[in-house]
Amino acid sequence: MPSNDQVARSVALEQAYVYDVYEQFLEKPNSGPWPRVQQFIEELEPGSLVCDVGCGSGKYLSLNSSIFNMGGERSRRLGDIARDKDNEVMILDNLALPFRDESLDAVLSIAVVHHFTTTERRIRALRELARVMRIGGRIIISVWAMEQSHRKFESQDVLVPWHRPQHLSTPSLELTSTTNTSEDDFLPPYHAYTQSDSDSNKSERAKLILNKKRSKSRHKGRSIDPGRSSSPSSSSLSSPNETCYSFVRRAIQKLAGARRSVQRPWFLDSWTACTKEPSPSRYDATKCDCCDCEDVQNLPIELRRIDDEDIITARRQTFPSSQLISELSANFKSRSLTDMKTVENNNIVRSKSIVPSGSQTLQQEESACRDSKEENKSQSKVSLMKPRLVKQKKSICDEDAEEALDEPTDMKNMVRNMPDFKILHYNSHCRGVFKQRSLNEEIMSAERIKEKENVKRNIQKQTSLNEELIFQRHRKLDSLKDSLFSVSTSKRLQLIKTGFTNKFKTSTGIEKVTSSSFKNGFVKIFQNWKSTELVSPTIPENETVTTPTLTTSNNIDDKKDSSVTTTSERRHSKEDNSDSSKDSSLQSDTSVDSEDSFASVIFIPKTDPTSPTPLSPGPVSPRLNTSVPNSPRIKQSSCPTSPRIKQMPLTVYPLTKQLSSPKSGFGSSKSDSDSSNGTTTNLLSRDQLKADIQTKETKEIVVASKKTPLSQKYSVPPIPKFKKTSLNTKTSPEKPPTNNQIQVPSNNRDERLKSIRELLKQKPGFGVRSSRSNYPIVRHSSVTNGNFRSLARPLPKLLSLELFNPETDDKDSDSSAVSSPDSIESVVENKNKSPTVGTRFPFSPTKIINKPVIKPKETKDNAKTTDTASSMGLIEAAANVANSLDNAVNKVIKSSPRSRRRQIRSGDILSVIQGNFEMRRTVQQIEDRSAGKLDPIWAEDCRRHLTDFADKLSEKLLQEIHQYQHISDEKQLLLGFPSNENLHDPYINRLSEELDDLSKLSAEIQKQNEYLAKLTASDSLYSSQCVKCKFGKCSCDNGDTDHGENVDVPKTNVNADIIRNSVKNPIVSTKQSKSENVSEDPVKNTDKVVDETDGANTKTLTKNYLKKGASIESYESEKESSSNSITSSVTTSVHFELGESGDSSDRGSKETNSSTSRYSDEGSTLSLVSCHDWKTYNKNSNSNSDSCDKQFFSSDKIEQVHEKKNISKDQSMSNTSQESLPSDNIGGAITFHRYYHVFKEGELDQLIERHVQNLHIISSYYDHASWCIVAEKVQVWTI
Amino acid sequence: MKLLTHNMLTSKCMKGVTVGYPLKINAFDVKVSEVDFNPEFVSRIIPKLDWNVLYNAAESIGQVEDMPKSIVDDYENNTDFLKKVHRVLLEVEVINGELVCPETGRKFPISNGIPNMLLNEDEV
Repeated sequence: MPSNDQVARSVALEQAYVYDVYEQFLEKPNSGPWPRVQQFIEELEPGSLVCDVGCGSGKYLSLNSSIFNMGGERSRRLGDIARDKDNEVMILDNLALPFRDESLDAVLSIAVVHHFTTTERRIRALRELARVMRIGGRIIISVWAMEQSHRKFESQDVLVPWHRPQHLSTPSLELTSTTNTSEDDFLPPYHAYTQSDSDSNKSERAKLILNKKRSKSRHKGRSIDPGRSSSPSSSSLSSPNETCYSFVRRAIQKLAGARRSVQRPWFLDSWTACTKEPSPSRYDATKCDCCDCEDVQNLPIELRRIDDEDIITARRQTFPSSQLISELSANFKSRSLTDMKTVENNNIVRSKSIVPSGSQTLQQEESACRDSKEENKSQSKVSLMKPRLVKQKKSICDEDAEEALDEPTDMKNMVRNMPDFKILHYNSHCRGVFKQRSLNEEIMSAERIKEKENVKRNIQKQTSLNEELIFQRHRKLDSLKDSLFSVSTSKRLQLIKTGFTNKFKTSTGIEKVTSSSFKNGFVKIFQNWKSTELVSPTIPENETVTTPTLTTSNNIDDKKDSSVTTTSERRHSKEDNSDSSKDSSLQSDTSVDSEDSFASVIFIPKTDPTSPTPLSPGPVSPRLNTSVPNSPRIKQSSCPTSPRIKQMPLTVYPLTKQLSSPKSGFGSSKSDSDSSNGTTTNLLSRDQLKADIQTKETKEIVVASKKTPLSQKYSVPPIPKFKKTSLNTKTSPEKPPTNNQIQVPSNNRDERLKSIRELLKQKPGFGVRSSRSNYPIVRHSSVTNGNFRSLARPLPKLLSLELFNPETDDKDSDSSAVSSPDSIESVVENKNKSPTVGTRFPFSPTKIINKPVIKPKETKDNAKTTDTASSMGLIEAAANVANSLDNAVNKVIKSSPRSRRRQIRSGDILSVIQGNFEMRRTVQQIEDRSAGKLDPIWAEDCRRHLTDFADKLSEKLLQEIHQYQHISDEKQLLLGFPSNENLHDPYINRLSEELDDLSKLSAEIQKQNEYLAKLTASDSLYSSQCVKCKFGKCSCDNGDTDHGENVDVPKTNVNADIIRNSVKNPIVSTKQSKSENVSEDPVKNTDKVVDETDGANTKTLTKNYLKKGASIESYESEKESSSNSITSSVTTSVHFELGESGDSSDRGSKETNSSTSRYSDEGSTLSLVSCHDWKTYNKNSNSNSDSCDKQFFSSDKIEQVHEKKNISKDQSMSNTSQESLPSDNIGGAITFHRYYHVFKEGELDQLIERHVQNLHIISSYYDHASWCIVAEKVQVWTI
Repeated sequence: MKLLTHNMLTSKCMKGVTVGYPLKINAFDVKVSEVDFNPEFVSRIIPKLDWNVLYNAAESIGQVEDMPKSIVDDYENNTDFLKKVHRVLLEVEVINGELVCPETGRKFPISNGIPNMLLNEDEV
């Protein structure tokens, strides 16, 4: 027996979708008695007492004058109608027939039993029918058949739309004449379409008419259009009534009142309960989206049984995703929570499949793991890809291209070597995370030592390895462009972040040396740029994605080097790098920064002594040639330092932490931060393990090659991005400790990290088992701050959008809080990172392919802008970006949030850097100016990119949203209302808020775009300057001077502006609360671009823009959802949504305002305030990210959209879905949904035979789309 | 509601009601309409009736008239008796009133000649 809740639900369902509908139901007068039923009645012997249970309008009650046929009806209205035909009628319930036992000679149950929502109730009804019938009495039962020629049911429990015949039709002359008492009475012959053809109709209405009706009714199911057309036509044919409108209105009012009062709450509660509680009998009343009356009117809404619901509930997260997947791009399959990783891998694979090269790469990866032959293939592919890369490189630098060409061959060899490693790694991964961890730990120590030795021994080798890695990456990237892009971008970002964070840390520690450090830093930056350029060209040859990664790694190395060389220089370089990196990848940097902050703080003093100023120039040239050699040098210098020792302990701790963390899973944020370090170490250990494996052959080169192949393999799955990010974060923390070891290790580490990330990615892909373990690992790695949280967030999001969203929000806030404990800078960075990482992670898993592409593009753009900057890079980057955008357009929506986030992150980084610069500026204004100049350039580039991205993304998002909406609509129909209703409230609020924010942001973005356009000119100048700087290795000064010249005016203005800004910002922030104010702020910000504060503002603006873009998207989505809901015919829902959106917009504006104000504050007190701001931003970004995530994650988005829509619908529905529908249809036909349990063939027979033993089936037949049974009550002898 | 119907009605589906029969009739509005007399039908119905209940019901609403308190022997051929029964069974209708459960006193309203025998969820 079902629980009380279940009963209540079923009752509520029946009340809402059977009784209440029939109360409003106007049967078509045309329907006549079914011949077989009529025959049954006529054959009854005279004087029979008969009850037609569910007589409807009583069309069978007067067929035989020699019998006493009582009509029993649940609907008062129908009873009145039947009564008016001089029939004996009573109101009764089939489940509690008010008759004595064995008092009736025959019972009619025509089209009644199928209205009971549970098997248990159906059985009860049948038993009750049998009870009141005497022995030997006969009963005829008809139920709707699932097998119908005119409509197909996928589920046995369906809500069949019934279009209230337009009033004209419904009130037939006969009916009107007969019925008059009440308004309802006016309603003519109520005709449960299949059930009742009343006696009145019998004589007149021909079978043809019946057939028509039946066909109509059938059509209602899914062949909707004909059904509707038929229904109206029938109505029109029957008799037009003047009062049709008034009647409809009355009916609607009645319906609304009744349903509102009773049905709605019941239904909702029942649904919620149903969803929560699994029960066989339960039906997920995915409420028919009655809303889509027109479209959906004819479509039957299928209710999923509780069993299905249970599965759904268990996999809700997955469910939407699966649906979304199928609908959206088939990228996402239904994911079980446990299978998330695997799913991601699958998705990645799919994404790869989307890109032919990607699919190949995947295959290659797999094969490479086990077969070197496949590697050769991949190499061939890579070679194929190379030409492209070469072209790119050529554009960037011919030399680089050449080098890249040469390198690829090495890479191939490396790749060949790689397979063994991969296999080993895979096995370990597949087997279990713990194993991997243990291996990692062991390997970590051994690998680190080996790596250090290798680095020391062969710095050049490392460089070559780097190149190889790059090439490999390129190859892989070529094949797996999407995945690679994402990975590479993430890696790059992470590397950059780490570098920046290190630099920042160092800079903070070394504030004293600001002036010199600035100069050195600039030089280093330029060097980095050059190196990045060199690297980048190679990468471009292979693939654009690879270049950014290389650049990032190079940047990081350079940063590290700079930090090592001279604290001041390091600081500067770090800052510069950080700036560039920030531009490219704020998120990764932030994540790394948090970790780095710890290590960096420790290392800074060490680096200071170790890092000689002269290194900066020297390294620069080599760096220009190849960034790798530079890093090795640094690494060498650093290696001897204590860091190793530190690293060891760190590794140990991390290992322990990691072990614990994976166990704990997500773990607390604090533990996460620790675990993040541990994870990083673990990652390193993994890398080391790989390297160890490689060392067997040729440790150094082999390791690099191995790493690269691993990376390549891993690169394929887009999901790895998250992992990559986590890896990056891990690397970043490691780097600080490694700083002592030297940059080379950092490079190795970076590579390792990349490889690890790839491995992680691969692992999930290779083995689902491992994938799960990987996730926790990733989480741990991400744990560093926001990363873990982010990881955790995305996963839950994927699983369950609704639930997870709030969780993600909470997590984000938590992450921010956690980050705060760290050093201020780190905290700020962490905060920034955490949100960004979180956003990235969620995005990447869901939309692996698309996102990765976008990310790489963005990263590329950022890297280009930051690294090469600038000079050549900007144009190329722009082109690349445009290309990537075009390619990603479809994916853009998904990726866009990421890109925005990244941009935001970059903006954050910039702001941080700027903040550092400001500090320095206080020391040296000139240097500050130069830095400011650089910053502005970056900011401009970033802004441009951001604006472009935002625009594109917004457009794409809108498109996607529309698609999603459609999908969501469909899903809603399928899924049913209850689930939606449950979720609506929180989501709606969020959505509305997000939408509001987005709208505001959009306005800001537009303004920013304008500024960007202005800045672009300046950027071009800057780029040229940067190029000059690059070319003239020492050009740093020149570049600075050039920048100064170009920017001179702005700088001068900036200085004043900075103060003004600092003052104005708060004011502006206050003003910003208003959208107009916001627009002004951006303008001011653009003006102040040169100023660091301005940069921060611009960054904030960019963030805001990003947020706006997201908000815009969300807005659009909401609007779409609203539109959908409107289309669904829920006007009320639209209003609600609008109101909510307005509210949300207000909220969002407030939030943005607060954030802006906070940002302005940052200008004055950068670090601390920025931290707070970041937190706020993070929150905002989280909200945005959540929205974005929702949107981006097809499943998430779909779910979200559904939720939103559902919410809107629910709201409207709350009024009374059916009522709302009528309201929409005012003046037209009203669609009601009736619940049917359509019986499969033989189902009714089984029910009777098994559960109603005293009924003996005499005949069973199919008639009028119904299964009919004539049974006789027999004496059952019970011993 | 015709008295024939009343002869079949019970409240035994109610929780705590074992028999629930016969239901007491509180008739506020009784209507007697002419119905075609079908002696076969009436003669076939009589054995299915609880005559005492029918008589008491008719008596309670003042429509017994001269109908005998007990079934007449050989009623199939007693047209007069059949007409009397026919009148009580089919022509007398309680338009407004209520049916009262003999055990619980639960009242089932009769309106427009339609008794509402629905039970609340907690009554089943």
